[in-house]
Amino acid sequence: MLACAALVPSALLGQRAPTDDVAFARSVAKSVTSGVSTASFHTGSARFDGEWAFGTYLMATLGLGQVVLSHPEERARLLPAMRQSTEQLTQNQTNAFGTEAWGNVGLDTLARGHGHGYLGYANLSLSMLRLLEPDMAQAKLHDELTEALAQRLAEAPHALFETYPGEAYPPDMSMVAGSIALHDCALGLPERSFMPAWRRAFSRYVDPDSGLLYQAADAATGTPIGPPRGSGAAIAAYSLAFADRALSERLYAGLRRQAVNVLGFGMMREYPAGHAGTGDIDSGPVLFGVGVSATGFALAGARLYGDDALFTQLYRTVELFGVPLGDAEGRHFMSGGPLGNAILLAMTTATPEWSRHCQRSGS
Amino acid sequence: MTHQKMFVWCLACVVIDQIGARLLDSIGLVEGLLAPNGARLLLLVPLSFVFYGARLASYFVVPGLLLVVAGAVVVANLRAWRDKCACRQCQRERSLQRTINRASKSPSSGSRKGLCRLAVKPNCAGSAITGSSE
Repeated sequence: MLACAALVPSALLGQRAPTDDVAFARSVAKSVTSGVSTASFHTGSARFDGEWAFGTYLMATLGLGQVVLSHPEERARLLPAMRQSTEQLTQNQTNAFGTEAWGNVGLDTLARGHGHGYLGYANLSLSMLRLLEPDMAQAKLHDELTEALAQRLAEAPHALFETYPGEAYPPDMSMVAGSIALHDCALGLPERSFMPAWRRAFSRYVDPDSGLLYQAADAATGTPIGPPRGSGAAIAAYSLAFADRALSERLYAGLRRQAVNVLGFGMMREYPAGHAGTGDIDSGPVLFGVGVSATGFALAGARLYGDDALFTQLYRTVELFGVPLGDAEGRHFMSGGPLGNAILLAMTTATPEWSRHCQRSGS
Repeated sequence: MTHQKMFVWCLACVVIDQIGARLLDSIGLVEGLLAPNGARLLLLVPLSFVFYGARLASYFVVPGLLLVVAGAVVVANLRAWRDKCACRQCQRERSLQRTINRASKSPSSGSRKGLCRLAVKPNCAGSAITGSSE
């Protein structure tokens, strides 16, 4: 009995078919085109409901774009859903959570504004679409947003600016940096002059002991706030891969040490040794030290850096608790919901393929 | 628990895993859990507990139990087959003995009688596997 429990589940789960990505992408495309709004979520906080709707469109665009890069034959089918998602991402209604926090509309105050660090996520989505469709309808907005974010990042004294008033998060800055790099890649622009200095300054937010990224910091002093976290390190490892592969890989190496393997099922600890917590809106539930977000986001790093063993272990866990189901469009995870499915699509299809589509040669 | 009951329990776990996934998907597990609606939660929370219990059992317990049940069935059949063979052997020996006895008009040896007594079991007249009469 014990031998069966140890061997059979790990043999049955974690085996992905080559067509899985496409089937999953079709299902997510259908989900986002049928509409996701703040009313789809009930976290108890209007800001978090808004962030989740925002996150669904963001991750759907990234995931769909990555599937198009790996399966160009799906372009005609998936691109309309990407366009619709980026359109939604830039709507005032979808960004209402940021508007409420700052008291102004982030996208309306690009040239003279500051903060609004969450816009880096929307910009990464726009960059992904731009890579596939350089003449996209939102090209002008994308250029303006990228310039505004680049200026704020260049002027940031400690490599980060605020996401919300008084709140700055290094993982959000990794998104900002990734979005700028992917924008420049899509247009064939050289690397920004401030980027090498930014990379060096940003490295201070990587905890030397655990190798994880601090989740929050004081933008004015650059002092980390709270412990380094698995979920932040995992999402930063993904987004920094667009801007600085070496730093991204370094974060993944730290994250790799957080891995837990139970009977072949992989999970990631949210906190490094010596720290503990029950989790928050970023980490999701933390049970026995294992974080849901860290586990899901770590799939991207494992895939990007060819860590097939960990990817398979993590994917087994996703299959066991996510419960994959076939549907009319393809397949989705029963317990994922719109946001969970969009995140899993983006993380399980992460690929360095984008770099082959950069306009500049040799990138 | 008898082997039949074990098998039925395993089957139930697998069926709940397969059908429960579709059911929870159609009634919107995630949306329901996120929505602060008491009545819906009252339905979804127990359903998801039963579903995930059955799913975990399907992967971690059912394979082992099925192996136990299958092993027990194989052992039972092997025993029945062994008994059946012993029974046939015994019948052949008896038949041979009777032939020898008739030919020699002499009493059979005690050792052969002993062998038959050992080999012939209560079910010797029928097979445990097929239930057919010998």
